[in-house]
Amino acid sequence: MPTLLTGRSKGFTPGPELVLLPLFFLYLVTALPAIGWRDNSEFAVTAFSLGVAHPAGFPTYSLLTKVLTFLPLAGAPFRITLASALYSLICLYILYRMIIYAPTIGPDESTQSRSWAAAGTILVFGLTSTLWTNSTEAEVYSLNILFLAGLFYCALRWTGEGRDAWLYAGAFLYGLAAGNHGSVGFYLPGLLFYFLFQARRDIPRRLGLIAFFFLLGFSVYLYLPLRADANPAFDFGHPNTWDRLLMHLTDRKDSEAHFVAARVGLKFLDHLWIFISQTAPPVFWILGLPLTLIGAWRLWRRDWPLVIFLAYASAINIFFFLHWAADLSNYLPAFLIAAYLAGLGGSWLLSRSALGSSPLLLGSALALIFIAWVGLRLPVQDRSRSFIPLESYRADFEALPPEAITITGHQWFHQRAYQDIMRLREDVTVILSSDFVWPQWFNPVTPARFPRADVPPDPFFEAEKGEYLKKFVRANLEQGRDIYCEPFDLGTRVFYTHLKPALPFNLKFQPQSVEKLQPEEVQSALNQLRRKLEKELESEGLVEEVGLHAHYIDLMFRYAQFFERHREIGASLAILRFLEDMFGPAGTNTMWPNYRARLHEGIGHNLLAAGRYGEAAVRFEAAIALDRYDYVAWANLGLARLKENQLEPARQALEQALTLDPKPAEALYNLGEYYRKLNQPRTARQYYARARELVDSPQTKAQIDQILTELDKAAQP
Amino acid sequence: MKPSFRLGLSVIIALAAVAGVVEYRAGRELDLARQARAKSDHETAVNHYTRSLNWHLPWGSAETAAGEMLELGLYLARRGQDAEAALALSRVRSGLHGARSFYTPRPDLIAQAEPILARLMAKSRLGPAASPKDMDRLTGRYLEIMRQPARPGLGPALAASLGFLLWTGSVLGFVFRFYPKTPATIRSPWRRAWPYAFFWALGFALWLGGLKWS
Repeated sequence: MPTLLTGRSKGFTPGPELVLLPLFFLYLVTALPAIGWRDNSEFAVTAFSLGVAHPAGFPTYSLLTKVLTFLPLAGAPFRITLASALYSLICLYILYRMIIYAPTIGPDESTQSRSWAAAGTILVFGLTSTLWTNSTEAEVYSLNILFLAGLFYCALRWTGEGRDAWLYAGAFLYGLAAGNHGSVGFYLPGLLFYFLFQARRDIPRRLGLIAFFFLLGFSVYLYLPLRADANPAFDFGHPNTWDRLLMHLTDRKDSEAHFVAARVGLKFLDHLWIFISQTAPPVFWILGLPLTLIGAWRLWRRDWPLVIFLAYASAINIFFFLHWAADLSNYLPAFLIAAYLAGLGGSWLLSRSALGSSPLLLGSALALIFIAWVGLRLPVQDRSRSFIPLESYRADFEALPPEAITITGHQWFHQRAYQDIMRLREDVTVILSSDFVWPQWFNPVTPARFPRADVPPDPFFEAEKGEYLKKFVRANLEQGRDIYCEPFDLGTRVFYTHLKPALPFNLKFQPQSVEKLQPEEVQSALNQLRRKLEKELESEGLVEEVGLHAHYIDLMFRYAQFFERHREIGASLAILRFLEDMFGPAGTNTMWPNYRARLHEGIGHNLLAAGRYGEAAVRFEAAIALDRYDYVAWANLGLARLKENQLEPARQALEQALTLDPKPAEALYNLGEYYRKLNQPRTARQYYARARELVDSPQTKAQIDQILTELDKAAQP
Repeated sequence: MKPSFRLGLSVIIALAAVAGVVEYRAGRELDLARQARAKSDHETAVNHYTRSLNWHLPWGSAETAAGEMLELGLYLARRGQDAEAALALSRVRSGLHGARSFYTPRPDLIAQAEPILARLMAKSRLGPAASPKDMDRLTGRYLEIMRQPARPGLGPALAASLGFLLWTGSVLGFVFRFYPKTPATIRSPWRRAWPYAFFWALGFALWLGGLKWS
């Protein structure tokens, strides 16, 4: 038998398992050992407990992954993570089959060159940090590209063989794929185009059957109302009625944010440039793009509608996720398509070079790529010892007194994992804060859901925002229950005055309003937070943890905000500066630019409150340098300049802010101040009046009314 | 080698690799726990025992870790170190539940940990001066909470999972049986494909029922 190592036979062709097994081992040894941050925890819980995940619910993911949780190997979250690895490997296997599929390429390329090109492609794609990361955590993206690969493969086989089974299998997979990630819906026009150009006969009947098999796959969404009706503990959005189901499927809560890229003209071009210059790996432009173009050219000659469809699918994928440039997972479909085309290009090149008939050389090259890349990336990609996402929040959760109530935001996903998977501290009542504040989008709080808490019987939806929560808190405090809350303003800004620091990441509700935190309370809170973070930094390498940016850091921002609201500017600054220190100087900074901008903005805001206007302005300018569309930074820069009496720079900053937000109340107010300083009361009045129309707070409205009265008085002769 | 043989061999190698890695990590954490315990560093010991349980394999080192952590929890409870004891016992319970699949490993250890844990929780809630009657009442209440059946139930969850695999597989089976490679030679595609329609209906019903009742 010919072997890879000796290369004695020139006919040797590498099977996919030669690459997939090493990749599986790599994913296995570098995978997260337990739950990850936020969505990772969420998907672990919803898959394990058949719960309802955030919009659009991801039922296909939950159902398929649930099957693997019956394997008695390791803890349940690790099994769920291994499911991601498995989905990636099956996707890579299909990619391999797609590249070696002869009718696509034509008979002029040898099996050997196709196989080597396919093996090289799946190796490189499998080693990309995006796929590697997504194969080592509980996420839906690897299943998403598995379905897409399946869909593309069905398309290839259908046009290659003319067998309609592939057409309807593809339609069915497409329905299931929609149940995994709703974004596949954007590929529909491309798929229809492809079908209409390839189908020569019997189009209406076949379209009808396509719709039928698609709907069969799409029926996986019956999962949502059925499970919501069964009241699982993790029931995001509670889609048990037709209206709520539609709201969940269309993600009405965040739909505006999803389409923001399509509406922000110039910003879109900026994001596109970021994608080209920073997001896409530089090696792609040097090696990947030429191969991709060759592959596209090769495929065009055989199946040009497929090339158009693939180009459309890549473009729509990139376009839709462009404003989330930092998270590469979103672009996996485009990367998959590029990998396929590059594989075809590689096959063409190999068939025309002496390399293509030298298995020893090719095998050595693949082994070298694997060893070198793993050696290079392992320190960053290896998360096998990262227990922080499991243990960090767990320490607070375990420290809660018996039968406590927690009102949570970020920690909800983790606390649900503790209770639903590990059955830890089932005496604690865990409530998502959004259930109180936005019941129309989340899951209303009812006595049936929380039998151990005192739940007010009011008709919840009619209650004023936050009022219901106040009643809930009051009733349970009167019953002697301990209520904890993570630093989060609950959308109402009224609760911070009833909270005191208690645990490192949790505050405790007080029966009476806290007018002033005692210095020792502030110091103690800062000390325990610092001790906790320093311990994790030393033992676990906190900064390297993927996903940390979005969750842990956000919690610290909120904690700083808590102190700021209590007028403890020093403590707020201490938290933000500690965060800044953790991530080090700019050269080694691994914090995403939007969070760095927010950090500068937060520090600037505190400095502004402390009357250090010059330093504040420097911070706002730093934030703007990172994100020139940051309305808050521009508005605050204007205010800082105004306070420093630098009137012209103030005006410029404020007018820039006006262009960036549809409701620029702060900028309008400050422009009112500006014109007041210039002694132009009539113009000032116009800006104040416009600001008044936009503000919600009655206090601010009253404050503006007073200014308007003063201006009117001054204007009287 | 035939592709099916290669696939089978690959699956066996992959499963063996998972089992090997899991058991190796469980053993490593168990060693670290024992080292910490030898230094009377109970907090570190409990953390490593818990991590060892995360790498549970039937009859493996993780089950030894669960046994030793239970023993440590009971020892700490006897010494009056209530908070540490509660933490260890709670971790025995949560670690074993977190490793449950189609069964929950070592229910005997969970059954030993729960009554002591419930009493420690009651004591922490009521304080040392509580009457025995109150203590028993609250202990009973916490025990009741711990002994509630886990959701989703195993039977319906299995039904939902297997039903899902059955109906999705049947749709694909139906399609490929109904539209063969050489349609001209097939006289009645329905006759070839109807068993898949039947299995689809069966799988779908099983799936719906499983989702409804799990």
